[in-house]
Amino acid sequence: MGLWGCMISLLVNAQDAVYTQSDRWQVNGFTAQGMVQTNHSSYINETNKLSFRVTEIGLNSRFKINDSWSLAGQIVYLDVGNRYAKGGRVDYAFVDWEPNLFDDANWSFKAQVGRVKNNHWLYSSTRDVPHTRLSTILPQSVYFDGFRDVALGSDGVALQIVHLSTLGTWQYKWSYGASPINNAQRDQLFSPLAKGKLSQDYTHQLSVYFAPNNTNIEVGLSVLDSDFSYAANVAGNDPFVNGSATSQRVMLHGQYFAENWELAAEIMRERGVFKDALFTGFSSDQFGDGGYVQGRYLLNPKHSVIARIDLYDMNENDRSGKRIPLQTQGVVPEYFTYMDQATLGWQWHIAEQWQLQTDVHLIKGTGRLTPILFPDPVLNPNKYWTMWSMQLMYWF
Amino acid sequence: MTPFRFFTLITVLGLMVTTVSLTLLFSINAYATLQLSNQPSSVQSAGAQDRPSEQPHPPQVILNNPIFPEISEQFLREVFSGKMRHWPDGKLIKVVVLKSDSPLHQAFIQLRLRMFPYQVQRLWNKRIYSGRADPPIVVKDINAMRAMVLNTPGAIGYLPYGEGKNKPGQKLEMKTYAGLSQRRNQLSAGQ
Repeated sequence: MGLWGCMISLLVNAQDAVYTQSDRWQVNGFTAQGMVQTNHSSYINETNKLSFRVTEIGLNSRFKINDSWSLAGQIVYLDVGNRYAKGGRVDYAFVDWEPNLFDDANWSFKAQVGRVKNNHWLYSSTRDVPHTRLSTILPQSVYFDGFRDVALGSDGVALQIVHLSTLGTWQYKWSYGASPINNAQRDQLFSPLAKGKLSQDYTHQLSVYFAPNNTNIEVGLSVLDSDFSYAANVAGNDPFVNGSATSQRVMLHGQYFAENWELAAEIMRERGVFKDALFTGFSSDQFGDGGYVQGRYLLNPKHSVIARIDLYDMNENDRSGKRIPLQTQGVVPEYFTYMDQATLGWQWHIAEQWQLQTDVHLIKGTGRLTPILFPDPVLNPNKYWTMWSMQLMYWF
Repeated sequence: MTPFRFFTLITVLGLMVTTVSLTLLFSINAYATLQLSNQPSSVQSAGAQDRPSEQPHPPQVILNNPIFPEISEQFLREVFSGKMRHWPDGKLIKVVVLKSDSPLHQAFIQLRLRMFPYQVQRLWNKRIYSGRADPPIVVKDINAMRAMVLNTPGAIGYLPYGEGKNKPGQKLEMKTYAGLSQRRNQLSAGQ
């Protein structure tokens, strides 16, 4: 701590002539509260009653040490029902280094070390920041809430290179690290009966984005590889055993902006491998896929409407889920292997930094509800279910 | 639920690509027409904070970096959307903008950057709330814009066309940049 403090102090003092105190510190934040209700689903709560658990609050700061070095961090408080564990989190906290490596206006390099965000998907870096999304709930095929804590970022390192070529702008991003998983997150992701320690061993991501010159198009490709391990708590009567899991993903991203409308789409193919954990000798290796297409039309500067189709299949060899009832003696219905969602939304930009957002979701299937390995057909008795939400947000 | 659902998604994506391609074709056509006529199309009040009808030219870029001689349209676009954050000499770029509802700001984004105000706002929001960038400095009018850029090393901003001239006794030289298309016009005219 002392060494870090001394180094920062030296760097800060070396730049005092350039920066004023207000230049050096930046503080921003957001707060959002709303209401949500589901019908025939435990996605938000078990009762299907109107819930006010749509709370998202965040406060962030950047501290410029000098022109190349900064410190950045954000804390968030989230309470969104059963979607993921309620509570405060250090969303990101990293050292940001942006040196003049290339001495060329057409290249830039950036490195971040610490708790870094996942910047590889269109909405991954700000999925909890309400005014950066087009709907209260993101498309679950790609932005599965159950994976929120491990997909949002990781403790590690991230690098980015931007290159302005004659064809357009290229962005190359790479990151490596691991996310801590606490017991509440373990229960959400794995099973409420689990008593052992679930850990993410690593997550490794790479993405390339390209925006052609003189267009408002951006396309990208990203890949992800991540390993998890489960250490059973034998002394605590853990019903599970030691095990491991691997998650791999390939994704295509695209977005287009026009004067009065915009389109965005992401499709992905993912592989999930499970070994042991449920019981000794358990093994599963399957490919799933999904994606969404969404459009937004700006009626005027204050109002816009959103429409989205989101599709997801857990197993490409059993898209209709016929094998699941056979494998579970009829306990788990076939609709737990897919989830298709149609969303209609409306955004009202009430004033500078104020926005009201509402959306309605029509859903077929429950393949993106947690816990993944222990579906609950009692709380989710219907193949078809609905949800609506409304959220008021303010940011500064 | 059919085994071909994923292909349905691909089909929808295909339709989307087709729509975008058609829009692009129209945009390129419109852009070519715009260049030929040298008249802004979508925002008639270009740079028109004071006198809309008398400001047919796109707003003018001003910057406070005496050692940087030239910037490209592409670099400009990435600077004002927060992606490029340093001048080639390593100094931090300080982006200065007017409020988002200012006609000059909107004209600058549409006519100079060839982007859209909501698009730029989204890009900044994503960067600010993921720790990747400081927000731009927001000033209330063009006088404040001129003063902020003049007094802030590394700053870049914009003014209505023709307003970016240096005045006698100015402490720092304010470089102006009219954009590639106008530069081409100047070159072809032998200026």
